Amino acid sequence: MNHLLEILLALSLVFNFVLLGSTRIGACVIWMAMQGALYSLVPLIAGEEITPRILVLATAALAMKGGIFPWLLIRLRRRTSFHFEVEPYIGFIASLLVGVCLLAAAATLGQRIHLTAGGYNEGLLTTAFFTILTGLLLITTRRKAVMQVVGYLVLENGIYLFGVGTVVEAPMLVELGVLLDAFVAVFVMSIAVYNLSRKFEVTDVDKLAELKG
Amino acid sequence: MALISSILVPASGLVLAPLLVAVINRVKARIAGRQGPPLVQPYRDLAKLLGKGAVYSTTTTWLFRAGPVVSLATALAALLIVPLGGVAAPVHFTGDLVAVAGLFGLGRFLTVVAALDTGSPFEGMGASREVTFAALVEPALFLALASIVATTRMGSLSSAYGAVDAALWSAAAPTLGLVAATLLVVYLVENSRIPVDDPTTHLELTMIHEVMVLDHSGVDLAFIEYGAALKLWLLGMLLVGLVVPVRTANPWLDGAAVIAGLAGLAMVVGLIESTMARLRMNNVPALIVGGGVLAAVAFVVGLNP
Repeated sequence: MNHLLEILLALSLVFNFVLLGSTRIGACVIWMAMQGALYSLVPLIAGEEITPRILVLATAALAMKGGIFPWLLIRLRRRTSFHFEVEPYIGFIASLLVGVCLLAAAATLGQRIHLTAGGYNEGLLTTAFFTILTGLLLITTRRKAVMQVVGYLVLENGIYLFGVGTVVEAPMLVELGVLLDAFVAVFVMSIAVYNLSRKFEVTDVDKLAELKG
Repeated sequence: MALISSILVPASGLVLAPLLVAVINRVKARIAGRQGPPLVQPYRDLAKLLGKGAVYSTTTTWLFRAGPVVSLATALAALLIVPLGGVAAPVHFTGDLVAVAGLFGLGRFLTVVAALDTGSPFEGMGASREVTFAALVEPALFLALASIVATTRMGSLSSAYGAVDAALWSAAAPTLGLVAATLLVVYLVENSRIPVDDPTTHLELTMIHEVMVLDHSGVDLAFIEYGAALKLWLLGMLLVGLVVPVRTANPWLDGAAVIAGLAGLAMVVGLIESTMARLRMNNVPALIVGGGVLAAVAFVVGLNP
């Protein structure tokens, strides 16, 4: 198997745990961006040959995941809140331990599923599942609205990796469309969080439950 | 030949272990702009302490006297099992990694019990901290060693470390790299080095290991210091044996490479101690759990080739 890909996947597994253990929103955004950048390089490394199509896709993904998303989020965090802490519902050590359980679940899942088409290897599937689960964990256990966006993007990273590993030849239009969707989602979420913070002066998602229509 | 080389493994540890402490201190002194003590200083300290009599408090029992003896004895026993890189240790059997971890645990238990036996609240505090961190670091050590064993498909530490060569590194680099990172964390925690504990401080409220041995003196203190040096050497062998994949058929060459690697490790520890501050006490568990998580990732990656 491709050794470079293996190292890259192991690195991104570690990034997931760093995301779960980070106490600062800014750090989370940076790690999320680095993970996204790593994943956008996967098609270049894993494929047998580099076609112009792959090159365009990888460049677009790199620009989005490694540049535009983190830039939007850092800007958002700077405007919305004076507190840079993540403020989780469950502690950071507990998050890490839950992460280990999720990793075990992802590994089982990665070994069980046998894909007929594509499928570079089990490690890639395991990493993709684990990244998806990490994104879900971040969304459900973090209090700040900005972290929900980070969690969504981690989830998106995982889905992207799953797509790269399983779908051999998706039309370029579809893949670029998915990237554009994610971009619009982040854009809309930033505006929503920004307006929330302007209106209510908090971005704590706990407070959202108290809103009445 | 095999017999001579396997006797060489514990013998080199017995002789050279205090030198590791000296190298760390020398590096720290040089970075701080000082001359630093001579490299033979730990040996001189040990000789001086061995020539002195021990003082025992009247409130202590036999447990207090057993502490230093058992902690040294467990370190010596572990020295017979841990291999020097590719050079097999004199004693090896399937599952001996559990025995090594158990020996560390036994030594620590007696040190803790001896500290509690003095009845000093200060030592009780140190014992409590030591046990808390030990409970976290032990799974990390187990997972790290289990990953090595799972990657090499060998039962004992000696055969597993013997199988870690350049070819295995190129085939399973992520696993071994993550395990090495975990072992470095374990190394710093188990030997109470700086991000966790400061070995140079006495009588400070934040210290962990040193506070437990405050009441020991003379020969007992020499035993403890020598046992600590041996532990530095033992865990260093586990880390360096993995990171330095020199596996020629010649045991002298392999052993020399690992011993040179241990000197390098001592310098790295000196650098870490000079450049980092100690972590706040409530942040230490995050460091240890983080190290354990790296080992867990290594284990999954290792099982998922």
